[in-house]
Amino acid sequence: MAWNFLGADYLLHLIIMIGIYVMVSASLNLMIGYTGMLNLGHVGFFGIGAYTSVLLTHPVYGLGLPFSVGLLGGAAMALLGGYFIGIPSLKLRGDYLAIATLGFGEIMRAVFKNWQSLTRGPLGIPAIPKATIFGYTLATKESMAMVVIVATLICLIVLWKIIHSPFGRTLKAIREDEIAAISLGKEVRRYKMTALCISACIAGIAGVFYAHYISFIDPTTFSFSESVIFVCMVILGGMGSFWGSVLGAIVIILLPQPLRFLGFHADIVGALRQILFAAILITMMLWKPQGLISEETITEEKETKEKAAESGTA
Amino acid sequence: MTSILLEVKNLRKEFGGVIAVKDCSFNVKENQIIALIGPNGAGKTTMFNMITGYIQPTKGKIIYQEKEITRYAPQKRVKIGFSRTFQQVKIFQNMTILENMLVAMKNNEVPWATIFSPQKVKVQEEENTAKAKELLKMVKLEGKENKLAKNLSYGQQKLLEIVRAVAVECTLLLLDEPAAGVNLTMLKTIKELLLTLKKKGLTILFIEHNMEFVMDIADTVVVMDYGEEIAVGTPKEIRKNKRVIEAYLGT
Ligand SMILES: Nc1ncnc2c1ncn2[C@@H]1O[C@H](COP(=O)(O)OP(=O)(O)OP(=O)(O)O)[C@@H](O)[C@H]1O
Ligand SMILES: [Mg+2]
Repeated sequence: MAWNFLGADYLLHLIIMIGIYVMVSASLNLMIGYTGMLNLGHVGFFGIGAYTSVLLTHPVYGLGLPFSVGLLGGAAMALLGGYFIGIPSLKLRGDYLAIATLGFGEIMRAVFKNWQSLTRGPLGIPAIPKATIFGYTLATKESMAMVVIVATLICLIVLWKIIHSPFGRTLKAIREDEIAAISLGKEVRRYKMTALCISACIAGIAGVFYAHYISFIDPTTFSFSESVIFVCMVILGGMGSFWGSVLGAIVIILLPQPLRFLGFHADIVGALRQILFAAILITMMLWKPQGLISEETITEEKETKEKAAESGTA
Repeated sequence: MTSILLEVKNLRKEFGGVIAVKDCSFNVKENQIIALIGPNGAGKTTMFNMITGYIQPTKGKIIYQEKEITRYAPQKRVKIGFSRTFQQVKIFQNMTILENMLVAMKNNEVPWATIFSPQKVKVQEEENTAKAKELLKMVKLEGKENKLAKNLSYGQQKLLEIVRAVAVECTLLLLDEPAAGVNLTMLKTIKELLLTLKKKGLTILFIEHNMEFVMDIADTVVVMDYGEEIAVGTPKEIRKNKRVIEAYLGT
């Protein structure tokens, strides 16, 4: 019975979900891991991307525009959302920023729920059109998976380039010591704002793909517990570790899958998932706070490699 | 003829009821090494923080190159030629020594620099790396470029912070107790570094408790006590000054 799940369709579903969550987790890592800004409302940007695109593209509940417009619109609105939340909250430090972003996530959910004339509120928006690319509709899971993989790779390459640029290095410096970064002339607020906007934009793109893949969204999709899962991916993988955040997303998607094979009812699976993630978070904090792939092991590796090279030439 | 680079005029700072700096004035002449000395709690660090823009003075003026800069943000002061270190070492612990240096140096810092002009960034990066290595060599930190900064000894961390401040292209270098907790060999290294920098045209203002160090390299000494400057002069004059002996130097 359970083996039905392991068909090609199921594997493609996992690939698509992993792609979407990798975008979320890698973008969130830019904020939490590299810049040291705890963001507990990342789902807000994910939701803005999803709702914007759906409202732009839906033939019945929206404007019926092409998917490419939805994608660009979703990314742009999420970025703008990042900018507007950044103006007041980047004046705040540490824990306060976390609270402010948490509030932002909840406000967005309230907007999705209460602006009923636009979003249909708790009813949600069903029958979201499939994504199209260059006029070709991604009706099959295969084609959708291909496009999501490409989109994820593009996002990862962009993030990689940003992190490994002088700008990315300054973000790390800000995480390490804000005052010292200021003493080197860095306009810390501007750097944080830029990181926030990039992060929000990529989360928005992930939200667009999510909506057009799942084909139904409602406010409960974008609740605080989803933000917690996002943070969970970053912490599990390793804050400030590029491949860590990718691994974190993969593990978080795959780990609860066996629950389905065990034949639990969907409601129970949902609850069990939450418990599982909470357990992961606590275990990681106690056992390996630096995550599965810690930033340090990467640097140490570099060092030992160099030492090996040195002794090799000596 | 040496002109005045920085003028501090009647600066005052109150923290609630505490008067950290009461009324302090002095000048910093171009291309000199000036030491700011005085007992613990005299208000030296507070002066530094006002000069570099980290705290706003309650009263008074700061004039740099004939322009009033009292309300400038710290970053804006860096742009016009300031660079500083802190009494408590502030380095980027989980970054390598080379990264610490490179953050201080100029390169294209837009996020997409490595996407749209990778070649330019790379060339600049190589230039900066070479320059960083040269500076690190001056404080005997060469060969450790890829070590994490937190793995350095305390003294080495201090040296790193100093050369990192030098890596910011500056006119006025401000060092808060550069010699504290540093051994004798390193002390000599710092002395030589500061004298080299002076030769290159920098102006250096530093706070220090180590009198031998101060007397060795300072052109001018400013003595503070209870938030006021009580004496300004050459090391020789300061050593003979009665008020300074009473307040600080002892017999
Ligand atoms: N943020 C602050 N709030 C309240 N009081 C402060 C603050 N900063 C400094 N002070 C007080 O101001 C006075 C001067 O302190 P400051 O750090 O400037 O002294 P200092 O001359 O640098 O001393 P040291 O040689 O020990 O470093 C001290 O009495 C200190 O307690
Ligand atoms: Mg002090």
